[in-house]
Amino acid sequence: MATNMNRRHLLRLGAFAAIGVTTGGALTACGDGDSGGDGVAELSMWTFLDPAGTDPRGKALKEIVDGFNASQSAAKVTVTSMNYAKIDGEVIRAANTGGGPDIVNIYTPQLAQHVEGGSIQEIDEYANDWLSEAGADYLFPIDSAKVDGKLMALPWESRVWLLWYRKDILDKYKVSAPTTLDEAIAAGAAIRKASGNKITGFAIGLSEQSLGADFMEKFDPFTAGFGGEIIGADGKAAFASAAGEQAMALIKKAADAGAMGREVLTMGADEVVNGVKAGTVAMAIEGSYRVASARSAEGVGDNLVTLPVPSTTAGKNMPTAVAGQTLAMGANTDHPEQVWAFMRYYLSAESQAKFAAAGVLPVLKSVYDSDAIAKAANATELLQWRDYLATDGKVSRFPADYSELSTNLVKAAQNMIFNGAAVPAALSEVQTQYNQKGK
Amino acid sequence: MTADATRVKRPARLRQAGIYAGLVAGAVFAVFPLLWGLSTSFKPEATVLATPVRWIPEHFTFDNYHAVLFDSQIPRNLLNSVIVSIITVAVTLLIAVPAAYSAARYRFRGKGGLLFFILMTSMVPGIAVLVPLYYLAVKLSVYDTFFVMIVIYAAWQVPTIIWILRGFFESIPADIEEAGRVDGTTTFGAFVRLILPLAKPGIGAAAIITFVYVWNDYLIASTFVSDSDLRLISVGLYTYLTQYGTVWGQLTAAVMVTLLPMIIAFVLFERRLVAGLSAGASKG
Repeated sequence: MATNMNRRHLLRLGAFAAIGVTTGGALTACGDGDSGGDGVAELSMWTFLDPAGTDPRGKALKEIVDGFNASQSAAKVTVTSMNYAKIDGEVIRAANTGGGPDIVNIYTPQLAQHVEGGSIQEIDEYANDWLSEAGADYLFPIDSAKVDGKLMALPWESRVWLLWYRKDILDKYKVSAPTTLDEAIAAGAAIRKASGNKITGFAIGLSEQSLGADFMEKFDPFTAGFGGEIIGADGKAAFASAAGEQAMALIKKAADAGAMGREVLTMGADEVVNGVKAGTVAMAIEGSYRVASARSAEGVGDNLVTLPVPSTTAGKNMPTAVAGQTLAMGANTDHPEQVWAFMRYYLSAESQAKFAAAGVLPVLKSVYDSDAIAKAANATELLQWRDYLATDGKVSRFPADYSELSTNLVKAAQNMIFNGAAVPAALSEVQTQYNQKGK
Repeated sequence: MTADATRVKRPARLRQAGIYAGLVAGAVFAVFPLLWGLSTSFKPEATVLATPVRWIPEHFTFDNYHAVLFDSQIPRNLLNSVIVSIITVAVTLLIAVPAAYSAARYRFRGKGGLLFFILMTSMVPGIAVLVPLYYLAVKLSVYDTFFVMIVIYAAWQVPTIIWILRGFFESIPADIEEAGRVDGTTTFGAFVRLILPLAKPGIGAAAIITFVYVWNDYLIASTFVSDSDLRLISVGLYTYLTQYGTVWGQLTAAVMVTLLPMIIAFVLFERRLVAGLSAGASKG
């Protein structure tokens, strides 16, 4: 049957559909829960930590936020937890439509991206007085949180990259703890060979996942260790230098010597750390912030030993990147004074001690003298990390398009290390491409 | 049995055994990660990556499930997903059922072009319109609400469902409605009282397709909601992929909890889903 549809039928069906949509809309128009009217500034904070979860850092955050909310009546902070890989895009998108958080947690390499995206505002106006009083307590120069000379955030967490090794694995294969990077590579090669290639002796993740972060976390300090830099003072890429070539040659040496095989092409930092936990990676260079998690795995514990990353010369360390989590002020906040009050509270010695007790490396020198550090099971190690950071910490420049650069560099590294591409030429190609794009 | 018959039967049996072997291999391939996830969900976090690998946990624990059910937002995320999925299904069907019926039964100018246009809209990749939709959501003050997700999901699903149901309505003999009219019922009455009951398998299948789409979506759910109290389960699961590493035990426990409603829905509606899809396919 085919019927000619007349106007009456059309109207009836249209009305039917409209009622449906309206009913659905009415049923679901819920969820926007912004209250107000009592003079309290409602501040939203977006961070990767989850105050509702079981992670000790999330619990420390909850304590700090609750403490701030109870300490005064002018503002109330509400935390929204987001996946660490999604938060930057979400904040920038929200800010560009006039919204976004009042307070946002940003990892230092992403700061420039936020500045370019217009999602945060400079805080010099608020921070200058405070910094003149308390700034000397910072463990490292606050320059890592400056973009174009303007302070964009307050660092609240430190991290250092360390040489990790599994003592039990080294002992099993009768290999001594390395004192130089060359020794680490030789030891890694011996372990990989003796294990029938089942254990990666010395792993540097070369996967493009996470934008090649695991590779860059080595290439950058290695380059600095040989006297070069990734991004120069003029904002241009400068890694195609003698120092960059030496750094790349060192990483390539680990593969050529047999300390790591093609398995590292599918590894990012997560996979390398999982390998250390599972005993399939004997040595690696990873962040201090992951040590507690790795040690909690069965059979790891004290078998995981950390050291400042040695250089190729005995008794001398490689530099370590100065990076960490920061707190920034949202571009569209209506309550900058209250946001600043919260940031100061977040950076107080008490709050830092709470984070320290949760395994976070504090940014303030004075906190290292606190009970939170003294009572830590790895107090000696924490102080060693602090000293490494204070002595060999190196502030890098992270341009807004750093993630694109790091992805291109890790692709080039894959070719140089495993596919025989010439080191100077491949580095020059990535550098030229990057610098031409930036013209 | 003759020798010829035995000869014919042997290849048939071999073929059948091959088919079963293929099906079992396919099923094992599909179920393997789920079983591994189930096993991991009962392991303490410290032993998740321990070697040698164990299928049966050495230390059996419910801690991961306890953390997921009582110390996380997962139950809330699950409830949100159920609410949004059910309302989206209702809205989608409310629009698509009459539209599909009209497309199947009525002749009007530009019908072919209109149907093609409707189908075309479902081919636009979500990511292509995400930014303008986001902008609109913020400007209309519906960002961070269930409403915006339901509207977008329904808008995305209506074209597909119209096409599925159109084929289904066409497979129902028009004589039934004509008989109803002879007995004095109106066109609307015939649609509601005679056609809808017959279309139940098709509508059920459409409902499940829409439900599964919403349940599994990440793009819309992660873009239009930032409030953790309004988050859907697909986004909630990402909580366990942290900067300090993946919390495998709790993640797999959360996945198991999340899978449960879908498994129940499929077990309950499997026959209807298959009947609905095959009926639509034979005529569509």
